[in-house]
Amino acid sequence: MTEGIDATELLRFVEGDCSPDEAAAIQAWIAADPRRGELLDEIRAVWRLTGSTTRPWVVAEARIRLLRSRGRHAAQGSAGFSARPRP
Amino acid sequence: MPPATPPSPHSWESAFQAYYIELCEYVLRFVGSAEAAQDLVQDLFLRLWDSRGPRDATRLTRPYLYVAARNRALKYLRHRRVVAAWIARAASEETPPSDTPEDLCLRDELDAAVQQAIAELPARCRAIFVLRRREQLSYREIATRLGISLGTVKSQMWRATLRLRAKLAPYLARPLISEDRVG
Repeated sequence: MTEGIDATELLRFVEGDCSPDEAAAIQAWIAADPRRGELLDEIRAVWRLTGSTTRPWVVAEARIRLLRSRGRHAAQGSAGFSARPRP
Repeated sequence: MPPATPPSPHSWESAFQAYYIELCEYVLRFVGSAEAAQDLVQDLFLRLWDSRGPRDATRLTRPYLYVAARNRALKYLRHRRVVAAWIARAASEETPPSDTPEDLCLRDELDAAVQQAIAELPARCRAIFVLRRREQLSYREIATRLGISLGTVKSQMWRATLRLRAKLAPYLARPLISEDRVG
């Protein structure tokens, strides 16, 4: 399961650019050796120091996705948020 | 018709705006896949939306959201049968503290050291790192922009990471804050 994984994969893992299956393989690889866990922590620390977030998350898109999945009720909710005066 | 009394959608929306990104960052530490992290955080907020009511005042707070996000992330890892040793490691993830003015001040000092370390990277290595971390281009976009292979982008990013890790070694240990604040 962890064959063919090397340390550079940790970067992809930290940035979240893995599919869930790839992530699971890397998690097993990390768990197999404490030094890999230490390296992971250090890479995360470098990332924390060199930027405000690990990757560019888009809140607006996430919000739309979420409101759409709740249809009309959610749309009413967003009207409340826009501070539009109620009739 | 009178406006709805609290808990209004407004507080739910503000919680989403305020905490979505930090919760995604937190859950990403457990799951390692941004796709999975976003889905988990989305599900959490959907659940809160569906059951909104009098308890929103406690549930739409940072501490509650972190605990709920953590529980969901651990449940996800167990469901996907991720190795137990990783789940144990993830379970020990701490909730990141909110920034205090002291942290922000220390952060300024730290930033100077970080900028220095980045400036000292070899030119190509630095260009790639900055495009990735500051301009947030994808590896593929960087390769196209600089006319180099995807493999080169990856190897240079790895090189930059190792160099920064060495240069910033004194600052890498958690917590970011000084020890004496505890006492």
